[in-house]
Amino acid sequence: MPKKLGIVIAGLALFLLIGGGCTRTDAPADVSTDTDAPVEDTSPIKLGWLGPLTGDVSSVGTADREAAELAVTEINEAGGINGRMLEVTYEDGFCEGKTALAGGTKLINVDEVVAIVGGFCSGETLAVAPSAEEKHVVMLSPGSTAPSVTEAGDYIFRVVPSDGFQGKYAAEFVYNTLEKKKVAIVYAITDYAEGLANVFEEEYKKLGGEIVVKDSFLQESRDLKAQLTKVKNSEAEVLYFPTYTEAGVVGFKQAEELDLGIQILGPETLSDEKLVTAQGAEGTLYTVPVSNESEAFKTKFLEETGRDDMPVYASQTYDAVKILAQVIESVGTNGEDIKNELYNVKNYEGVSGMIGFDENGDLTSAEYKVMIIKDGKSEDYTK
Amino acid sequence: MLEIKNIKKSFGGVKAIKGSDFIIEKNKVTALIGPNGAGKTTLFDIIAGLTRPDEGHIIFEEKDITKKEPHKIANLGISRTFQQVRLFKNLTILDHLQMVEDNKDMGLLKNIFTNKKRSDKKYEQVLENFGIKRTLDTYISDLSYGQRKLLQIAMTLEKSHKLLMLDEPVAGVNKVIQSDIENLLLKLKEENETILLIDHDMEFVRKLADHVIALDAGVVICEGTPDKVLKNKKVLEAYLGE
Amino acid sequence: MFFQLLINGLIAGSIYALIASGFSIIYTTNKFVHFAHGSTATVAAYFLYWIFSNFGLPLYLVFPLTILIAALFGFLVHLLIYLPLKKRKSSSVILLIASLALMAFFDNLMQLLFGADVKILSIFPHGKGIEILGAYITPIQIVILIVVLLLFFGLWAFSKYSKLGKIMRAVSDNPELAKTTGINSIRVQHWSFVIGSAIAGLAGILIALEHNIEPAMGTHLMIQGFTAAVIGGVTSIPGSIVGAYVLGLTENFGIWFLPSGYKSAIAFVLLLIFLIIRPQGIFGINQGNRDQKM
Repeated sequence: MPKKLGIVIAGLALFLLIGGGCTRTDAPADVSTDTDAPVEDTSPIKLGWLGPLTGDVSSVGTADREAAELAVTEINEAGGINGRMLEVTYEDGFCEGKTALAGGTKLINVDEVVAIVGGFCSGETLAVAPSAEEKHVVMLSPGSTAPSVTEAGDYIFRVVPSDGFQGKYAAEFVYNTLEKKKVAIVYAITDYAEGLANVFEEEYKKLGGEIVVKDSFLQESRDLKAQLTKVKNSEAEVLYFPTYTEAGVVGFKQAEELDLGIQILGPETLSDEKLVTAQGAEGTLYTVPVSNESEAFKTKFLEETGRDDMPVYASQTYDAVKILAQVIESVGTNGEDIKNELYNVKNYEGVSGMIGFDENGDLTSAEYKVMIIKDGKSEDYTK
Repeated sequence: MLEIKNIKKSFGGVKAIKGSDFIIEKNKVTALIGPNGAGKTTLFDIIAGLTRPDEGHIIFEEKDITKKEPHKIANLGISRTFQQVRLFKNLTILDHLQMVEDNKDMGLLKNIFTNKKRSDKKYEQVLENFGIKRTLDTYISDLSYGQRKLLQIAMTLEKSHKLLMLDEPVAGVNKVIQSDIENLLLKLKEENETILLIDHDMEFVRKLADHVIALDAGVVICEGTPDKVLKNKKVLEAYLGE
Repeated sequence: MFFQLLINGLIAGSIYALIASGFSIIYTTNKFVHFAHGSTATVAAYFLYWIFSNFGLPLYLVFPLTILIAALFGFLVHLLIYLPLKKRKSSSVILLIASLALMAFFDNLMQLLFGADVKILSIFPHGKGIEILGAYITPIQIVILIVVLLLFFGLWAFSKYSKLGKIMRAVSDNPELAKTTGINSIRVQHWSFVIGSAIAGLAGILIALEHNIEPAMGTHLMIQGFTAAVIGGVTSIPGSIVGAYVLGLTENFGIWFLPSGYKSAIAFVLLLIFLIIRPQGIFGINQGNRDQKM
């Protein structure tokens, strides 16, 4: 907590000191509109990256950073963007609004980046979106799935589907595949988890199911016994548990200690290695977006980074960088131009699958599957 | 027994004590008199170690105690009362009386495990001697001013001591209690206690003191028998001039 | 469900009690809020983690060693930071600010040295709890309950029978007066930090085993610890443990009706109620109506 405060204060101080003096203007920054003799601009093109480098979800954040770095290296080795090298400034969002706002504002006003890959967590994206909108800086998120991001602004895009899809998929899975009619929902109070909880509830009820308990907890909670006791005492047959890593670890442990005894289902955050190997995780199910991940990319990524497993949203991060590079290559570094061109992307073949944006900057379709945790590993679930 | 040698003390530019020199003799009652602000209580504080003088020395039984810690001075045998009664609000009478017993050994273990249970009878006797008509488990906050003053004196006496320093022992109490305290002090005098007394009541001083020291700004302006000092011109001027 | 809530409440109360009792000892003796007390528990927990991860020492050595380190930590904080400030006649507000600075410093230091992610201490095997009357409780939770019960009786006896307990209260009431009765006030204050911080060390160990380790773990519990001390009565050391159980049980039964997110709010509401209606707490001494010219 104190470190967050320190970063926020430092970020705000910087913002006030420098941002006050040299705020970003809307005038196009690249040289090509200069009416004087056209001089080749060889300065690097600056992108920003915003994600959880520390905190609850840092294991995923740091892994996805490596995916971005891989994309950048490839682009620069191929000659950069119109001869200009690509440079990325990485800022920590800590997976929550206050810190992300400081980082994002710095990227926009101090580093004056052309576009931002991020935020990662939905809370991060939603916090920075208003500034990005105002300053005409595109945000392309590789991981923010909360339904509310759809309305976040013209300049806000994402290469992951809205959880409007995932929540619905989960509800259908429980009702139709697991054939359970009573569910308890226990969710973390964050944009992401709350979004999922609400979509799940709506869709599940539409199918005819009953939500017997709906309870919540703070992301930094380390004691969920109260919530789990309520669930145990209810008639729930399944527990839907949208949460980030650390509270998830607590939930699994205490569910086992309390002998909860019912199936736990969660979203893609449960794929974090720390959760998969946690006490009490055995048998837990979770939904993930299907990544039509190219094997080639997977191999290359694992080789370059020395990792054993693909972190969630790595391919999306990679795609985000590549898409932006491609768009900047064709229309230049003006924010508005980039934004407009992105809406024209309909059939980009990314390593995470086919990418196309609708009028809200959302992916037009989504596919999911269910995984099961067995012996500290994730496997495809087969009924 | 107690030597005050050339003590000087200023508080932020105000010279409270300009240079004090006198001796307190054993087995006698010495009274310090002087107008308010003469530095009497300050001297008490310096002797007890609660304040450090700017210059000078305090010698107690041949030992220089000027720079000693207050609790060490207390354990050497100097026991004092305060002008405005000071007791521990959150403790009972019994606690106070138990507390003044033998604090030399502050070893943690000894104080946790040893519970020197003196019988309560001893303490009840003390209360009776002092005419404090309350039970041992009464909290200080429930005592009247007069009772607190008595208790303060009782504590000071119960503590093993060689020198008693009493700062205005009868100030603010009614006639009955004043007379009780007077009788008590007379009894102590008979028992050859060494007492250093601060008081304004001249009759009281005349009755009790063997030796009187008159101070003004900490400087001795006259000393001697009560009769001699109380008729001294300079002393009367100092008092009238305040 | 009732029994599970009861057990949940007792466990929560026990954890608060571990923090509250040490804090209460320090507060009753020194009369200022030592916010960095939570950090003492955190430092102890990380020390335990470090020793456990790097050296193969047996547990019966590691646990007492951790408690000693915690006691030493508290002692040094008092000696090097608070005492010099007190010598300069700093008010309790200044000391409180100093304690906040210490808290921020040490929490951050732990984060710097060990990282912000939660560390898991796998010393004892985990698993399903033991079933009692339809409720579940794990072995570690049982240990915590027993330890706190023992601590309660120990502190109660200490308060009532030992001279040091009374001396501590005297020193807290009026350090100068204590000195003139022959009490070494400064040494007593040192002891309060040593004992209080040792208990914080014990707290750090037990909380690490039950809730795992992260940089703000101790500080997070200070709010409840402080509330528990107020409820129990800040002048009563064993009272703080009772206050902790009142808090833990109220929180856990409270959420029977309310959404669980309100748990922390319950702590604040209880704190407010006591501050307004009965500031001396359950066991605190009513200061009486007489004018205090002390």
